[in-house]
Amino acid sequence: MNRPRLADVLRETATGATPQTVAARLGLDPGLVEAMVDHAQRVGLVWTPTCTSCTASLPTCAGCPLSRG
Amino acid sequence: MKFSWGEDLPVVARMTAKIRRDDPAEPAPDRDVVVALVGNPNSGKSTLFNCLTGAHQVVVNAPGTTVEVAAQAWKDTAVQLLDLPGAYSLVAHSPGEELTTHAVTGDDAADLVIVVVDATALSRSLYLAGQVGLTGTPVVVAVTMSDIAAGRGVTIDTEALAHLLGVDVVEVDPRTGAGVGQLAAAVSDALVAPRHLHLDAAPAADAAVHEHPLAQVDPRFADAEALFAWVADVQTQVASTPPVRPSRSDRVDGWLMRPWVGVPVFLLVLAAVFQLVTVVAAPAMDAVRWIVADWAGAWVTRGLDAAGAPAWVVGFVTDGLLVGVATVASFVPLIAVVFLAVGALEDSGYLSRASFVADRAMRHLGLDGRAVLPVVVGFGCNLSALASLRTLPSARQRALTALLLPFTSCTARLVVYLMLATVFFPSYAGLVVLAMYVLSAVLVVTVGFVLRHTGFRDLRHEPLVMALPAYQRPRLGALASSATSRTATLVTAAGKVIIVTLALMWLAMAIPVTGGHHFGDVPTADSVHGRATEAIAAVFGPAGFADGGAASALVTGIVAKEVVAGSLAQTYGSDDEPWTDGLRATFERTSGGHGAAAGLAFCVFVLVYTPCLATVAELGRQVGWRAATGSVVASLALAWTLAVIVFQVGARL
Repeated sequence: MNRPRLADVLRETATGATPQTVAARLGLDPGLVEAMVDHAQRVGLVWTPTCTSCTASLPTCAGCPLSRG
Repeated sequence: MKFSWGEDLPVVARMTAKIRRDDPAEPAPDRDVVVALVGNPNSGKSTLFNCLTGAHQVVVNAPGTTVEVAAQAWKDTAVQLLDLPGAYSLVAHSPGEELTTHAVTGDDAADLVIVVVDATALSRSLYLAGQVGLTGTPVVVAVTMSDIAAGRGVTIDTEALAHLLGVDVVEVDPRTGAGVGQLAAAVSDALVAPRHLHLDAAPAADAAVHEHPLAQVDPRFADAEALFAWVADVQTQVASTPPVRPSRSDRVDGWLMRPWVGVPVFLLVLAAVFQLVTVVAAPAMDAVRWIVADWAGAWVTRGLDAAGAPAWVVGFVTDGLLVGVATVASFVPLIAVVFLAVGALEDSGYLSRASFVADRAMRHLGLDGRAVLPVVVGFGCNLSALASLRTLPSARQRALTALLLPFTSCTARLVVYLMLATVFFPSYAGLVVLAMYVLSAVLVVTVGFVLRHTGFRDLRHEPLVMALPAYQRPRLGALASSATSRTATLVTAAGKVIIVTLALMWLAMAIPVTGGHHFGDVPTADSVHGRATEAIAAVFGPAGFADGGAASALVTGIVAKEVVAGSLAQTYGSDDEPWTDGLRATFERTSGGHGAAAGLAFCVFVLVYTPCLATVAELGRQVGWRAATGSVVASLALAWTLAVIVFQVGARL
């Protein structure tokens, strides 16, 4: 396994690659890449297009494509 | 026993402190000891806890609900064993992870941590183990799921792992009890002679990492880099892993992430969705409206007449209340189909790809990538999108995005497009609706570009990465359940506003101003409503819909956009013809024979003009009333200009 560099992982993730593809491109373990992306998300460097603060039971959120129903 | 997550004090602190206070003078070693189980979710931690304590409890750890931690004496000892909520990291992201983090790092931290390492997810487990090791807490490692990992071609050399980590490593199978005795012995030894994880071997981060832009954003960047290098180093030495190949999901993305493929495909998908909605929902909407307004209306009219009710009461019930109820009821099939279709796109992971494309556009505008989230939310509801702006860190970013959100086409406007498109463009209504969404996106990008290069030149670009989930098969049961609850919520909330507004509108249409008519029996032109909308209607002459009914619908749409369609139905419906025929005939007349162009111009005006009152109020709160008023005035001017352009061009084609 190659030495994992967070910057490389984030650069590949920014191209739209999923952890599996990033792992294949960089010669890393997919689980390790998932952990790296997850860590970056926790410290605010990465975000995912999901809304975690609302609920479809609210009228203002019911029509939202990202709310959790 | 079980403890629940307290209001403000982590339960473990109370619990470990309580255990110690039981005998503060001379605490016996076998009563004073707290051992905590720490591991990823679904790593077999709770099964191990049951095996070690003889308990039969099931621990529920649901995000957003009560977090529970189980505590029980280790079999045949007085050692208290804690089963902490599953955690992926000590950089806590949920109440459960906060609890686990506190149990390891707090003032009353556990005396020893058993890190449960899932052999099927070695990297993630080692990452967590490394974080626990960095706290300085004594550690014993229990490896679970080895049989499942072996089935996948992954084997772990536990002796080599123990050598590298510098602590005892025991392979256990909590379901059979295999290895539990060795684990107990290892814990016993570690309590007498605590051993700490060896992280000295962790390779230092490259010097260049400190220069990376992301390292400037977060100083822990370099520390994380070193920890992951250590994880990779350990994993390489102790585990055999099969080669990695790109998944099918990635091969699909290889094409869809290319802008010149992804954007047209996304437009095709949207067109298909809207066409599906018009083909499936439109007939259902007509049927529902006929049942409620016509069939039930006739029964109600006969009943009221038989009861001797005055004519105005009959008119209020049938033309005021029932039209409102029919409008609300007719939304149900439409909204349900939209939610099913959009839900399938979201559940499959495809909507995230659309967000990714939008994210790139946002960056070209100089906006924070996170601005795409409120913009996508805006296509559901502008109000909730404004509320979601709190995810943006900068006040200037929030202000700029807030000014763009009214141009995102919310679900309420979709209802108006669909109804008008089926009236004026029955053969290709789906494409007309799609055109409205494309125009909405163009407006967001154009207005964003203009604002970014005028009043918002000072915005800084912040490095931020968007991660995509893998594709998955949509779950039909969850989709149906979600669409049902969303439809019920939206229709109930909007229904109240629609029915009340349409009832008030009926009153305005029933009160005579000129002509000596009686209350409830007055031509629209001679009513309060007719006189009030007459002046406004003249403004829309160049857009082809200079009619009091259309103007009235737009005015009521300021309360809520859902009311527009109901208002049109109320104004243009009569005993002789359905409202759709009345609307078509009126627009043909006001446009000089170009009714379709006028209908399209009306849709454009609905897209661009003032959002609903609740959104304007929230906008005022977010950006100040001066900017909000400017936004409302500018959107009215832009809506009128675009509607005029669309009509004038459309009438000449």
